[in-house]
Amino acid sequence: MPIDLLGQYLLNTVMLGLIYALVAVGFTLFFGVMNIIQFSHGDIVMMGAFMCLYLVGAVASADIMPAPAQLIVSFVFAAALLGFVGIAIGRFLVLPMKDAPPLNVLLITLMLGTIIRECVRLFVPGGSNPIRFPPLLSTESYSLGKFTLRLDSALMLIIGAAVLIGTRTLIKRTKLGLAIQAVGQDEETARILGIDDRGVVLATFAIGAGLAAVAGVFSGLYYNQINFDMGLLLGVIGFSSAIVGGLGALGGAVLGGLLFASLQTFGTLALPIGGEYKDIFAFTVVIAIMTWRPTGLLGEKYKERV
Amino acid sequence: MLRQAGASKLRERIIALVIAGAIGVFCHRILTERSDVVLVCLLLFGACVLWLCGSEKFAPGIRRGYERNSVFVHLWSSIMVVAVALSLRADPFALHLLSTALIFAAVSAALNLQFGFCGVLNFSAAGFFGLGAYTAALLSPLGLDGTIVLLAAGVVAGMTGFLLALPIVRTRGHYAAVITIAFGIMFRNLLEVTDAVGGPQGLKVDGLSFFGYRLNENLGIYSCSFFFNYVLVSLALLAAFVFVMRRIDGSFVGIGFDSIRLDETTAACFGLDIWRWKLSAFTMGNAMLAIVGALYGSMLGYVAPSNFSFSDSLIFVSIIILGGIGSVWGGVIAAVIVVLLSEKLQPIQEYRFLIFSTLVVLVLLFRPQGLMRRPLREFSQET
Repeated sequence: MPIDLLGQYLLNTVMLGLIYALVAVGFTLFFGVMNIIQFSHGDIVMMGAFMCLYLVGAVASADIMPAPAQLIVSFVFAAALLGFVGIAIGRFLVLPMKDAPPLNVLLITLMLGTIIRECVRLFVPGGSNPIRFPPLLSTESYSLGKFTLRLDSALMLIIGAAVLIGTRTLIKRTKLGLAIQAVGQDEETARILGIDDRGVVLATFAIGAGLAAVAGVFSGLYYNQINFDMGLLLGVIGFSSAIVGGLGALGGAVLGGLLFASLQTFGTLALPIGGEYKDIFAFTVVIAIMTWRPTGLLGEKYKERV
Repeated sequence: MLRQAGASKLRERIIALVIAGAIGVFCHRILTERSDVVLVCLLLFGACVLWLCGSEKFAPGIRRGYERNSVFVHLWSSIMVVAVALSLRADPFALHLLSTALIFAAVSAALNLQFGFCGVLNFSAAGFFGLGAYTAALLSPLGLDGTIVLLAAGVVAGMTGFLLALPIVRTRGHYAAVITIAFGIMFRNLLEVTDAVGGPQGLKVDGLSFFGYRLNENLGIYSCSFFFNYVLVSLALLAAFVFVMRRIDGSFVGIGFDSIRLDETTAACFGLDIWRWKLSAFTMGNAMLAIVGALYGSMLGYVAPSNFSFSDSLIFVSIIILGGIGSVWGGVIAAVIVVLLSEKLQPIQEYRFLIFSTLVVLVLLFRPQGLMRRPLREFSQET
């Protein structure tokens, strides 16, 4: 394969992997702090994309600031709004179920995801069909042979990497991050040490949902369209990536996301049966990896003590 | 003393008969009702009665009565279903609904075996259900006997489930959830892109025939729709499933499942082979799902990928949560309610996924035991 085409595929894979990694990090965060799976996360991603789309429209029609500022404002506003949604989910659905069997949290968030999906399908105008997502960033491009780098892709790569590194710094270096880790390891001890455990859990939900907003907007920009059920597949892919990388490890989530994207690209390029089977191929490999290493590639090996 | 016990048994049986008759009349009324407003009132009334029956005050008494006369109750509820079906014999739509409700009830029984008994999550119930339907579709040109088709569907799904179960039994809890979800989504995806099974349009299924009797033909009863035959077959399948479930529940197998669901580590310490138990529950449940799926496909006359989506799997899961996880009869009743609500009330059909998922969230928050709590095992001797 010529080097320029290879470079193009590599770039696309990294872009996709970045989106998956952003979703996977959310799953890992929720799992790390409360040992729960927040299955509606994928649909929160979808909600982020829709919110940003409508906010951009609203801010643009208000017409009070220059175009780049409009974009930043609506982007940040969407992430913040979604953060509140995350807090609401944590406060009203997840925290009350703390003493119930873990299965119930899974079921309740799964059903919440369906509710969000159906609400968008039924109540957003035109929501049952794919909606065009406008190229918000500049689409100027630089070509080198068959290799084309669009400016918005480059910007997304930079912003996405910055967001991931920022999340890592937040978890590893700040006081809030330490509190999140403490609650994740031992909630009772954390409480005795004066950490507001409920607050920490809610903060984690806000962070996760904010990341979901970024992922949703990126996905919209990448595919140029958004859809009410895009969150379902994105959520399952994100969750599988988090598991393959090792639930609870931030680096694992990124690795898993990139791995899944490479599998998809590989499936499109190398399989004789064609690109339609790329998801099936990727999931099969991922499930095989899960069977081989049930705790993921980077996750800690667990031993159960009784 | 003995005589007193006999008299109270007779009284219980008369009460059971009256209740069965009342439920039969009620179901008949719902199935034939044309006005949406009356229908909603009837359904609300039924829901209130069920809610009361499931409450702590009445449930133990009802359960005791049921356990003492279980054979009698099963017999009379089957007769009641046949009677309702006979009285509706000229109404194909009502019979179709009744048969669908019975099929969904059988699905809930199969899912309860995995989910409620052994605690193996399965979010691709519609996938296995569809696998059965597609097997029936692919086999229909061969003109095999119905029993062979149903068995073949069960074997295909059982083997697929076995392959899928290998990662599931190696991983724990939530991982199983994502594996089955991925399977459910991928199954539909695979059907849609594979032209050999009809792609998005799906396939046509011929009606099954059992021992020379074709289900899609009138069996000779005057002005009787052929859906009546499907009611009979689905009733037979449901009865068989309920029988199997009750046998399992009452035997050492059920106790093994329970201990694995409640605490895997402890169960393993007591020498249970977790791998084997989980695998058998998962495989058996999937085979049962596919068998009813094959019947469903042949009743519809066609199969298409859109009938077996992830949302349908969620509806199946909702049914057993609403009915009470692990409660066989709760699942059966919830299945009937869900089918009647979504098919009979045309205005809400578009909103059914939304309504049922909201209902499940509310149930999980405020009444996690569902409609009927699964009873705890009673090991003390009755004196």
